[in-house]
Amino acid sequence: MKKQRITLAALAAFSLVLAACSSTGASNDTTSSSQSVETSSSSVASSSETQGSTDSGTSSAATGFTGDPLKIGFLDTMTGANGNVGQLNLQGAQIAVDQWNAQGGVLGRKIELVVKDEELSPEKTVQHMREFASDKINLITGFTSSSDVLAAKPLAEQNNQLIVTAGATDTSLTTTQHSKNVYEVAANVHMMNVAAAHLAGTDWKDAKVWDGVAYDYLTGHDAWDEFGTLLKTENPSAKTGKSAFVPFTATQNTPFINSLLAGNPSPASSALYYFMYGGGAVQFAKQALPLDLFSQYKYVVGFAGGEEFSSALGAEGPHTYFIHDYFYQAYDNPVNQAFIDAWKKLPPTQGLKLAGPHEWTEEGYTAMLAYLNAIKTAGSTDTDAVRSALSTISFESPMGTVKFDPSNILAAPVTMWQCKGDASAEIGYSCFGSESVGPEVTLAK
Amino acid sequence: MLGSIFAGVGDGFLLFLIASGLTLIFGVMRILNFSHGGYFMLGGYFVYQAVASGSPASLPLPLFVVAVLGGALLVGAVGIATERLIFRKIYQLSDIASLLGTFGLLLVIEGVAEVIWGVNPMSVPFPTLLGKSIVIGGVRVGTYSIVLVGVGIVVAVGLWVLLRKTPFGERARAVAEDRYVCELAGVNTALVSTAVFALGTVLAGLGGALATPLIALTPDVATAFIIEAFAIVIVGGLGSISGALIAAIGFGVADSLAITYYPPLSGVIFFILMFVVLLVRPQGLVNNARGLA
Repeated sequence: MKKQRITLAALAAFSLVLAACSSTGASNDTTSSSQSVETSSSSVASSSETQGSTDSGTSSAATGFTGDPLKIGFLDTMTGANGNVGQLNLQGAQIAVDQWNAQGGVLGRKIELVVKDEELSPEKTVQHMREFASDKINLITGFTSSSDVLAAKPLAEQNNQLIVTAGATDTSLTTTQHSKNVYEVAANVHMMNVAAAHLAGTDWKDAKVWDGVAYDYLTGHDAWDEFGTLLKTENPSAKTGKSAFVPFTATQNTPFINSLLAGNPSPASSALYYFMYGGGAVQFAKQALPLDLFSQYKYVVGFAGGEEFSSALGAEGPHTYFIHDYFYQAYDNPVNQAFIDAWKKLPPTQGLKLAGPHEWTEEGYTAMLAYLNAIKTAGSTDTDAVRSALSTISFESPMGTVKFDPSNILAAPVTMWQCKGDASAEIGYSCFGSESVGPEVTLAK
Repeated sequence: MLGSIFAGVGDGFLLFLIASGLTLIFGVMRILNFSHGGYFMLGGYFVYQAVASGSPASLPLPLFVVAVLGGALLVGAVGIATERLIFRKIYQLSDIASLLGTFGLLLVIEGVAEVIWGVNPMSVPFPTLLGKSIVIGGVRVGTYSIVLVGVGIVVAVGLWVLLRKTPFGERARAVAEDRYVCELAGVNTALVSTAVFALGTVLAGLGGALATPLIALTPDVATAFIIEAFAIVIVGGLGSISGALIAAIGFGVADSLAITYYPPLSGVIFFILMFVVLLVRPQGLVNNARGLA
């Protein structure tokens, strides 16, 4: 009897853990308290009248702030499975805040971020959105998870708050789930797919069969299906082949790898569509390396992630073409240079070996630039005024002059770049060969 | 089919390394230790810290072996410390309270790892000679997976010998069967408990250390693996090492076949099998009414 009781207790607890894990993405189950992030001071290298800052961010403190500090909410997943994305988003937002504060803030007010951890949980997202509303914080950025944006959207509409997402990429946010209160900075899946299909018809025309591996969730399936449709248009001589959809929780990837190998990919004419990111992408690669999966493909094209993949794999990393919004080497303009310079002054990111700012840092940075430029143009922090400005202004970003499309997605380039393991490099890999596909292509289809 | 079975067996033996320590601890202490996944994770991070934090171009096999053994022993030391400081209090609690207590400890270990190593994924390179594959029966099999199977067999046999043929095993089985009588007979049950807990955590650390070339190290890896290990321990029969071995290989192969032939079942097959086994045989595959089996 005792043993049966323990078994039942174990099953009950086991179910609790499963439920907890499924709702939190296996994140640390602690509630992060709200915190105001102190901004550091930096010098003004040049007085930028424009929307971006060309401040290289060094020493002297700006003075003469008037009025109360302007508090902008930052809500993102800061811990657990995708905590790395949120932390890099925050890093970028903080760089922008520091640069603007060094130039006197915005509307004469010092800018402060109020950071909350939504732990990859829609429930926590709703809770924190309510807290922002009660604290009279109407401008919010952050957001890695598109699901959590959808959870926040009704509250933003109800409480007249604005959200400028940094890392969320689901296409529905600016299409079927469009809201006038939500703006999206990161290139969405559709834009990345269009860019990839465009390159499949130009740079990668010799790839005649495209296999695919993606996370087993709606966006993963939709992304692969959409890419197949676009491929028919951009390169009619190419076709899709084998596909594998890997659960987020999978610890065993070998059978998925075997199923791809069973299609006998050709190193001369096959390509792999790799729609995975974070730890899952690294784990899949680790189990694929001994089976020589990547060397069976002429092109391995990774989406929605970047150097965190190459950083984790180090010298073992396969030659990968990444498709995402930003790569630091791809853009030569004062704002990008100031952004890179400011990033280089930061301490190294824990567990991440980088030679330049990660695209998730840039997303947080650009999202904050969007807000600050809109506030400056509106001359107010009122929701309606800032929304009106967001919809109309152009501003300077690390990727050049950008503005929001009428659908509320940022009309910015999608960038392709390459990285591969490099034992001679200090960080274990090197990146090179970038190329941009502009919004006139990615938003036209 | 053959490829799926090979893959499943390799994965099953890795899961067995984790589950064996979990079921061993339950067998003697009658405690379901959710924090076991934390010791698995620490084994991985210790190896990373020892050999891979500087992005080495290659990892010599002897260095990797030393790191794995050292990592496992270090985890055992952490296990001894936590057993003495925390678990001796948890033993006194009710079943549910002790489950929640160990789950809380798991969260603490994950949090500490997050502070020390961050949340970005990390990995350890394959040691030299073990990063390739060989073809068996027309199927490509990773040499490292073959090594894992070998280590799993050695551990299974070693545990059987330890528990069945040594004085320590005799005492551990006696304490598992009736702690009170052992105390009356003068057996130092507290010492036996500490030793068994240390052995269990060494096995978890060994599993985590050996898994490093095949996984992405993040703090939440602790939770990912403990869920599967728990399912294995429950299905194998609480406290049964042989049951854990059978269940681990069975689950590994079933999951692998599901991925190959009916992908929607991948990940779910574990829990379907657990449900079916517990309906048909609630005591688990290997009946272990008292003590260690």
